[in-house]
Amino acid sequence: MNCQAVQDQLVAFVLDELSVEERADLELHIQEGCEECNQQLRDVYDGIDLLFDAVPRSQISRKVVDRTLALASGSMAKPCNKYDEPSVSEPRTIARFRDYGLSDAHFTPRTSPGSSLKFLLCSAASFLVGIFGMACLLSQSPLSKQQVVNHQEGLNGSQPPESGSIDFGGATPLPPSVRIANDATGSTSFVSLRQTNSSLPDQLRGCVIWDFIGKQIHFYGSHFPRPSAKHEYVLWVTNKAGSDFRRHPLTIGSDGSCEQVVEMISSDVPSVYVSLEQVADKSLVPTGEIELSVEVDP
Amino acid sequence: MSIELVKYTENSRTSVEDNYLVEQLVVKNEEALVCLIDRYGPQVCGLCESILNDQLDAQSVMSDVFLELWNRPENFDPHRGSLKTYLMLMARSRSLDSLRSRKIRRKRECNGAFGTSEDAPAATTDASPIHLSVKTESCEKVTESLLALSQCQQDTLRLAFFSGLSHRQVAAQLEMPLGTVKTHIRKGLLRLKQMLSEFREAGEIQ
Repeated sequence: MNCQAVQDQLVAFVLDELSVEERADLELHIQEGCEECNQQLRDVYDGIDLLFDAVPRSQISRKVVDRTLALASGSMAKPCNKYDEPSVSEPRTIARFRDYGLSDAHFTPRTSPGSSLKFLLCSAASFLVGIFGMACLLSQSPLSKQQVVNHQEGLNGSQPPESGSIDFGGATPLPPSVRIANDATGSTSFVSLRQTNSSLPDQLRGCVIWDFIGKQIHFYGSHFPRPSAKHEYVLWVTNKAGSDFRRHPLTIGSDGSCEQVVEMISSDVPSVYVSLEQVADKSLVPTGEIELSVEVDP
Repeated sequence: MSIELVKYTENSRTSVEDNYLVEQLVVKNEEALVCLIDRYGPQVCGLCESILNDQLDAQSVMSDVFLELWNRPENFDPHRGSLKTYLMLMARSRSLDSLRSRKIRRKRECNGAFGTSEDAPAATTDASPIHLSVKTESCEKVTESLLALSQCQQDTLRLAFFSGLSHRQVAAQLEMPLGTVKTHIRKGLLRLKQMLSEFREAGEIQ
């Protein structure tokens, strides 16, 4: 690759618009120490840095900063100092509720007063089931596309598997959506993800909890194959109309487990579609090692 | 671990270096994340809003950008551009991801081809930051410099960076050869840097 060709591609390189081969060729040329091209690359970065100064600043709400911080800390379980004096008008979350406990006099659920105890019990049971499931199954083999994952419907996963389980994954190219109907008084929907194997009992692989009071999705999973450097797992959340589509990269632990809370910014999301995909970086193409799809209809 | 936030907020440009804040992210100091969001969040969000034309989506993408920095601070290479550039480029990329995801979702629903005009990145001149009022001295100088570029350089830079179009899309939009677009963008950036350097040397901006 000659210098002129490299310099023509520098901006595309910085914007990550080159093919893998083009990128490798350009990086090789830069790493070989061509002074002129390295200087041009620095100049391009400097120019972009200046260019971005023309972008007008947007106002960021404190809530967005708080949510980002809460997600960064791994879960909502560790409230910041800002939450030490909870606002009555602020929607409470499962995690905050867990932290403050039953005696929290500030708790004001949006639903009728009679549902708050049920909400608490459902939430606590859901967390216990999810955490217990992951803790018990650390020694099992990773998921793969050849395996079948079922969902089990019902609050707390307490209903028999036959009542709502639908196979998806396996040979099906795109797994069918799984709809979970929330009962009229419940405040939390729970779906467990179970791996089936013809020779072994079903194995719990994780769960998705939809907390419609806190407007949160709690996702727990285990036995994810470790993604390569160019791959990552992403949780997609959208409404049925597809007009509120959000991307949430998942953090997978060294033991293949995942525990994540997705907080919905919009308060009027009527339903949620959760799709877990292993995607090639930037390309948004599912590589298909795991495809789980859960649609929650509160 | 604690960062002297007071010093930072009083003089946001110089008192706490970005590299130090990124190092603090490696050891998971949440105050460093707050500092960085305060420092660059409004700009990152502004770019996302420019591309997505949606305030809620923009804030969501902004959140993703800072979470990615939090989860993988080692990906930031200080030898390749500033932290601001790194964050803004990531914001541009993630905003484009968000736009593409709308297309994918629509394709699944409609089972047809995607690429409606509604999904295309915002490419109107009205939404361009170049034409919006800017408030800081530095921004004014950058805008002044941008307007001093040739019309082709202005258009290509605006579409590539503020509307989020790829080089190919810019070429299609402006009906120019791809190579010409690349040249305009590169030369526009270099000219911009040169003009801003002249402003700095003249003491007109810091």
